[in-house]
Amino acid sequence: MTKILFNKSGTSVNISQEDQKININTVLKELYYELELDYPKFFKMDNLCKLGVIGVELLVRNNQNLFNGKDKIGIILQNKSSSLDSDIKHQEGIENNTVSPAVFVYTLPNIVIGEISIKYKWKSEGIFFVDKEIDYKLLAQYSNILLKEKRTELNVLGWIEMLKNNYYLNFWVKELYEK
Amino acid sequence: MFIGAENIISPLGNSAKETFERMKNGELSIKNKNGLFLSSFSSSQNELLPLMIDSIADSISFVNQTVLLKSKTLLIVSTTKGEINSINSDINKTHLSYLSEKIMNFFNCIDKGIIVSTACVSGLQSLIVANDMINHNYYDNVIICGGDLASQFVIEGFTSFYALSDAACKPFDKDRKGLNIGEAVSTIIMSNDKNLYKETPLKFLGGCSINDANHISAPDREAEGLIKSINNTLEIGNVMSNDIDFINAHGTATVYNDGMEAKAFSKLNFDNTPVNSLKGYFGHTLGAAGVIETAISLQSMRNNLLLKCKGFENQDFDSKLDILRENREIQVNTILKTASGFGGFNASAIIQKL
Repeated sequence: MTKILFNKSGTSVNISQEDQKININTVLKELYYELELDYPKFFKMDNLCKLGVIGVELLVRNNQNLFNGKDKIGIILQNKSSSLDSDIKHQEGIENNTVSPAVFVYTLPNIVIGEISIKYKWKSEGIFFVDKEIDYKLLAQYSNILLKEKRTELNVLGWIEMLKNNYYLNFWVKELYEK
Repeated sequence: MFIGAENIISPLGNSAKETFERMKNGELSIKNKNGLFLSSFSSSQNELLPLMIDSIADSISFVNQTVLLKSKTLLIVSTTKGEINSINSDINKTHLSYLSEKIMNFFNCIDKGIIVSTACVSGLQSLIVANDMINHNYYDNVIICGGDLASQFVIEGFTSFYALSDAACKPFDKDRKGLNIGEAVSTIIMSNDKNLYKETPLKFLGGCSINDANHISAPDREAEGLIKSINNTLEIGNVMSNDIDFINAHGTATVYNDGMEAKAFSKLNFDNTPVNSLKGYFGHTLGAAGVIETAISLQSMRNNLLLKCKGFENQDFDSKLDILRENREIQVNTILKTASGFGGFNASAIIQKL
């Protein structure tokens, strides 16, 4: 129901939808148990954040050599729909008089960077861009800036889209000098 | 990089100068609207785009058009919720890229448009990205436009958080009770070419945004993220902390945010540095905040006049900070601007006179 693909070196991961009929909540829950995440906070998150944490977990597990011992790990993400998935839920809350801070807090796209930072204890640079489609050039430019200025030692960058039952993630890691 | 050509469209005026003049005279735009204290335009604004276009047009009028057209220009739109008022009527408009696309179609001087959306630090982080992009020769000029409306969407959300004050907000005051939502749009232009500007620009020395990895909606009580951010920014700007003449803080007037900021400034030995927050004038303008507050701080530098921290009366019992009680005339050469927000982001930047 979900396709997870790595590149040859394992430094890039894709999570894409195979079957649109399967509910996104089921998909994310199954991934959580498959990965044995053991992170109860996961269930408080909105779907954008859940997908982001799963994407980073896959990258970290496949690239222990890159992540271990690094102090300054930057996060540079982008998507199309910002937090619209949670915005729609908050808007329904307004209309039904059931507004909840637990929903409202996720109506910002950069919260996924916050959740990733908390889970992995990364205390470094982070930024969230929004555009119609993935802008590889912009992501690479900003990653280069952070690495060249030594503001980060390693960056996780990529695309993370979540709207209703549609999702797509493509994250990769970048160091200053390719091995 | 050079920084200037600032515009502000706020309930206090349609230019940076006008808004600054009225703030200098102690005016504020936070008003009681049926029990809700907020800063909003007198004629209700349902759309952000026309305000952004007006704001950018005014900023462009302060630069040399031929220089602008000859060089490579990036647009950065800073917003948290964009056209959120259209969520039921036209969901396509709520996609943030709607704003950058329409603005690019309107102005022929823009080569590319991007959007930064990082909650309350969006504005300041956009200025930092602009500086980075010019420094690394990706662009010659960057037009940064920040904006958000005081939408029902946002007001209901902050109400559910119990984050709103039931009076005009009191940043850094010991009796502060929360924030007021404000709406505004502000534009600043950065460039590698001093000749772009009709009026002498200032210099943006650099900045960064650091995550505190603490909580998605509560600041780190030990202020580690903000301290790290300011320390990195001092290093990036090659400035000593005692060179800082003034700090324009985030100062939302919530108990925890201001407490966290005060702790950071104290730990960094800024006890004798004048500090203000501008949210007591026009509230928390979200995606516009970092841009509009920097624009007012640029005016402070141009006029060598620091504005008082409107709403502040009594010092927190453990604070020794020099929170501005009155406007103060001093030589303002180097300033520090900070912002902190949801998601654990802590941004800071340094601006200096030429």
